[in-house]
Amino acid sequence: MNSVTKYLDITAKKFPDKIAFGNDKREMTFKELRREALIVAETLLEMNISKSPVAVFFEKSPECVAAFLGAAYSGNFYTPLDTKMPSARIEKIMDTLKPKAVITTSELAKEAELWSKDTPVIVYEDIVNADFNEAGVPEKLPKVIGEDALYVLFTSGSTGNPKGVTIPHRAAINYIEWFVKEFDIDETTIFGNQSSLYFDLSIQDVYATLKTGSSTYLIDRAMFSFPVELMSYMAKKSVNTIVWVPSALCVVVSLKGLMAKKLPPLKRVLFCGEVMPNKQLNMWRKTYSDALFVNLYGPTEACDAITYYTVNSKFSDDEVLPIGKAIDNVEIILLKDDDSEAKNGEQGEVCIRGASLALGYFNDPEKTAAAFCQNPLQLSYPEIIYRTGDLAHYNEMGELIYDCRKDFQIKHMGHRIELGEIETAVSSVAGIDRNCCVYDEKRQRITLFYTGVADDNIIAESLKKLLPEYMLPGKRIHLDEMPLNLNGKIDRALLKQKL
Amino acid sequence: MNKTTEKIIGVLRDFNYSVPEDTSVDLLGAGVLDSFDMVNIIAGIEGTFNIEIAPEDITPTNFDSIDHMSNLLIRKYGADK
Repeated sequence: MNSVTKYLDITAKKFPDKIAFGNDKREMTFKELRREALIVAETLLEMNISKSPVAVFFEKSPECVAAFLGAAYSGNFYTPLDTKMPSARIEKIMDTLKPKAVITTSELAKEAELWSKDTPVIVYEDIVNADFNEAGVPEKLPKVIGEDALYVLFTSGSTGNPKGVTIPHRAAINYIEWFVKEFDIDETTIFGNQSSLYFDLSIQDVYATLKTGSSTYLIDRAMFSFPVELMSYMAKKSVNTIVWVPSALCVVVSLKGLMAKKLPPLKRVLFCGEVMPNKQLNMWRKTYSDALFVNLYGPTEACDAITYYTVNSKFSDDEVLPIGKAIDNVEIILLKDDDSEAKNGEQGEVCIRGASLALGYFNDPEKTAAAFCQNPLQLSYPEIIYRTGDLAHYNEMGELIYDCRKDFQIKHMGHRIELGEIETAVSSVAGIDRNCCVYDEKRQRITLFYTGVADDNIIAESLKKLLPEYMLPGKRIHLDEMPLNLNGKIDRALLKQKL
Repeated sequence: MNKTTEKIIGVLRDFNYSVPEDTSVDLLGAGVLDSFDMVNIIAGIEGTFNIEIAPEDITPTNFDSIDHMSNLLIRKYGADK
């Protein structure tokens, strides 16, 4: 297997009329999905776009998946854009990505034109509703190899510019092959998708479905505020497998969704993206005592998840869940500060080698070179590892335990955020002198400290235009003077005490 | 404005939400509140009114505006008018 589109070719033949992806508006079969993806592919080929980035600006929907696959079929690669993202941030991404086309829906086309500038905009409904004859199209498609880029996902960058993680087909296939085998995914699996399609946590929902003929229901974000509705919807769709961020599982507990309604068929509960607290997990385990619970771990730079831990023993509420061991074709190396290997339970930086690795950051050789480097334990031939910036150690059972970050990256509601990106945005607001963001873990919110004459309401309004909602500081505190440490840097430790 | 509505506004202010002047404004449709906000609001209301809200009452129709939250609390949980 060298291209994810082969999955769809095979499955569309095997299960043409089975539902592939559904939401509250439409249920799309595999046959329809392949047809619409090929229309998108043909449109791109007719525009002479190949081996190029294509921006996909859609709400979470089956059509969005078809647009992704249209890019892939035509030998291009896609970048999903969050439709709620302020246009200032989209423009930054566009500057780095320089896509050859933007695919969007008729509903969003006007908005896309605000930032698309000279880039051609393709309106999905316009091309899909036209007559289309599949004959001859598959022969026109270019050859795709495993090293070709499949998608570029933008994550928060510490200097204020989002970084475009470039994932090849090979990495997605490596993850999916392992995932499907390890968790016995087949055509009877029904995923309840929580993650947005612009996060890599959705990768197995999309591609395991293509590989096996399972079905994925794309759950509207608003439903997570009302777990009784959420659980009723999932029961109606017979969802038996979920791969969610821990925050979403915790929200269901807090909003009493576990008591409200039981999902009889729920067989697999997987979570990834941040630390899952055992307190809430224990409530899920008690309610669904027969289900499989798995902790997944991995950075976007290594395609979704690269370690896993099947939760099969008791954990008290205050214990830490291991992140376990590496998936097939991937190895974890723990490196100490001097680049030697951490041994016997020592702490080291999680470094990844193997088939799940990204190709690097799009149009950013400097950041690529800093994070994707030669394996220092093997210098005889070129071999790239990815340095995650996560610190971890092995316990006595040989299971990997995540400890903390090396830098100022945080996880907030499952989103990976560089506090530096927020600080850069804040410093661009008129009347701000100095500023520093600190994550308040207890209250799960970002707290901004600032000096200067800027009005608090104006700061709040300005930031909404610069940052996605999940990056907005939940609390803003004005200081007369910013505390500095002996090196003349802002004293973050002192600010943390002020929370 | 009744006492219950005032108290709910207090809960929202505690969490730094910008509270609209018009208490009938749809907070969900406008995208003001997400699921994590709901967790805060439910916990805040339960603490302030010393009640426990039943799972089946946590619905969009009961929580889409300050007025509707207030109605629910008065109707079902004996909060003051």
